[in-house]
Amino acid sequence: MRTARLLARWTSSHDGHTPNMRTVYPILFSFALCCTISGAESSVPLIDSGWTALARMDNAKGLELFSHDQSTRDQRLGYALALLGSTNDSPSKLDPCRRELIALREENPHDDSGIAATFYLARIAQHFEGNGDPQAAIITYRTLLADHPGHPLAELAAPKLAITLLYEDVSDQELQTRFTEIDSLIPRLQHMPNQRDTRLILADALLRLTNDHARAYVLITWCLERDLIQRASRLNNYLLQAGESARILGHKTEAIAHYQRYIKSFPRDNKTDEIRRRLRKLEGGDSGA
Amino acid sequence: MRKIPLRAILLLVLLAIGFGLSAWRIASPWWNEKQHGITTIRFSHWQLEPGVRRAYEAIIADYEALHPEIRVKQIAIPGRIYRQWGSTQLVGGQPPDLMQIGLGLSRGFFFDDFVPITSYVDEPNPYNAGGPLADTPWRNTFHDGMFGSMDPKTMEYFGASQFSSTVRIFCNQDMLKKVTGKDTFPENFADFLKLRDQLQAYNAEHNTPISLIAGSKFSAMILFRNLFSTQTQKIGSRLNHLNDFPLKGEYFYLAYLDGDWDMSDPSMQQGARLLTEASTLMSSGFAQAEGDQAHLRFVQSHAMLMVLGSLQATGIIEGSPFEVSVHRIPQPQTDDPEYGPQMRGPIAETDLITYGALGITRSSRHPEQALDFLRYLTSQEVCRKFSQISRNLPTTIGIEPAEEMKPFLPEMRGFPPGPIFTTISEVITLVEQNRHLLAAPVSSPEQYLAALEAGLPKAMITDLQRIVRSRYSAVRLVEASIGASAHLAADHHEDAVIRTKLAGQLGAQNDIEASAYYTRLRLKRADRTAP
Repeated sequence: MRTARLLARWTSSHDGHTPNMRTVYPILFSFALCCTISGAESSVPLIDSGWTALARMDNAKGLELFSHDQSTRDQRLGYALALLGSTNDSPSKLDPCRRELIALREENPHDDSGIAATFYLARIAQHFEGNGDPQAAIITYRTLLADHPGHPLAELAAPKLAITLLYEDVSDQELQTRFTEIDSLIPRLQHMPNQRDTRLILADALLRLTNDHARAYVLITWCLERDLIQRASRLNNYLLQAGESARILGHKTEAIAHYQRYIKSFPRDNKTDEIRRRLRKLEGGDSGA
Repeated sequence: MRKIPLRAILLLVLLAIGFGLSAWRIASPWWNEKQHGITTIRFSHWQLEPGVRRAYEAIIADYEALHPEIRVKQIAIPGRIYRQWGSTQLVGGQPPDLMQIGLGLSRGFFFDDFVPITSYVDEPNPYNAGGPLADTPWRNTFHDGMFGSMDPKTMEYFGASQFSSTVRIFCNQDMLKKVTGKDTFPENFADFLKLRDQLQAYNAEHNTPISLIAGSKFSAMILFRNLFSTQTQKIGSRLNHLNDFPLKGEYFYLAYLDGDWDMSDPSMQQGARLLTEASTLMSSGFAQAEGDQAHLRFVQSHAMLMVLGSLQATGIIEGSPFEVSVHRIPQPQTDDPEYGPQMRGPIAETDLITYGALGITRSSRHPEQALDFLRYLTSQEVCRKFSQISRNLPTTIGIEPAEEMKPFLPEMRGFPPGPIFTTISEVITLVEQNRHLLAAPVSSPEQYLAALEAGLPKAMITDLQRIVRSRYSAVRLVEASIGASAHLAADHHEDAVIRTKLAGQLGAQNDIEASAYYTRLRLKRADRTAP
């Protein structure tokens, strides 16, 4: 009877007739919310460090982990990168990111963190600022490559310099000068991904802008011979390009080898039948076209 | 004593039941885990086709037998509400461990909500051990090399898929025999037009209103794209300076803006005529009709044919009160006097591209188990079972599809398709807004091309600028991740996985960045030379 009275009081409004849901709902809702939050908080993260979080594109987690500890220059660089990664959702994080990178560079521009900070300041100038400042980025990329030859982070500037220089709207003469600058840069690079990408960017630009198969072919085959092109869509593109350039240049045996490698690598691609026809034609048979 | 209102008691009881059920739902996996050491993983999908859920149930039973400490629950959600449902789950922080990615989930920013599995895709799938794919990297066990599970913005793999689809024409075989006296389906476009004429004669004789194709927006899009691309094969080859075929829509547009082709080109003229003829094959009002209306027309025998994807095949074949046959869309032949001259040959289809990958959610409480289940689902033997029960085309290599699904296998012999107008949004809108000019009562290819010519330059420029912006955005998105990978690679020289990931990320970002700069340069030059 006592319980019934309590229940009646609890479920009734002050007039004693209608249920007082304004009281019941918030209590139940809060309880359910607590259950949900406690469940969510019990998530088991796969991530052991801010760097791993950032590498997995979990910028929020990276930011959280780096925020706890900025005792070293390394950690501060991580924090700046986490801020940079968060600018997609929160553009206001760009300013503190830039400040941290400038501080790192000014404290010591020659250690790993200082070199990385310099590189990322150039990337910010080129891609994250309102209208972008490619000229500032070009100057920084050239400086990084000149001042820190062989440094893995400084070398990241090589393909970026190639892209920024080669796709500017300049005269044919100026374009040739720029081709030469990038060409002369390549032998000095010591890290394979940077060697590969700078070569392929130069090759693409030679083909796209001047149709220069002779120079482009050498650059592409250098990468193919060393199996440096791993991503399937990229390999597909460059094997085809190498075959076509070799065919156009009259290197019949090499064209056949590239086409054969294409067919072996991509037996079920929608280009494969066309490649087979081109191969048959090169081998002197009927192309079937 | 004050009397308790009955309504209040009922309400309270209902609330208590509802709350109890919710609490039980939330607490039971946790309770199972704590008390019995049983982990429950949940996965959601929108594949409500007959067979898919049955296949999943069978596979889950096998997996649970193999791992008694794991329970797996599938959550099937209708496609039309999947995005809203999924978004609510993700925002609430309690999503399933695995979710099918697509239909606009995560607004395309998968990395916000899903864990990349890129570092695992080059390792063999342990569930393929002992079989022919034992040493094959997981990625290469898929027909499309997991291409459909890769995010083009970041070049990261966010899941693995069991779904792929090809588009075919479904034919009411009984009606075909009744109308033509034979059971042979047209093999080329000229014969397709003859079938239309035979059906018209049949309708006139029997006073019936049967359409050839149950038209809908979807069937029009598929039919028109397929046929138009036969007429642009030669112009595609001519404009393809980079020798990368099929010519990408982006370069087709840039060539137009450079003045390398216009609407007077024979490919455009013949393409528009071909589409006008194709419009006569479909039921009236096709441009407004939805897929389910077309479906109804077909099963009620108000149309002889229907254009549909392979995933819906089981439902159509089992649910139609007549025999259904499956065919490729008939194309013109190279000796066709009208439509042959612009062609190089029949179009080769691309290999099975997967879609709707299952991705591990960032909030998953059991990411390792979710990854294990994902590997199990996409292993060769399990994929074989899935394909047999669900009647889906197999996404894993080395599996023979069910006999009735063989007509859906892609035909890879043939020539590359030509470029089409339906690559990007503004151009798509322009094309769709003017599609009515191809159909009765206007039926004027000339008016259609004139309307396109008036709107194309602006639409193409808008779309190309959008492409450039999207690529710049993709470059920015991965910048911090690449920085972190470079740091990890420097700290772990010997770790091949980290080095491979960094090399891949760098290559992808450089390719995207260079493409953005190239298109921007071409747009700038086109703008300078524009009249």
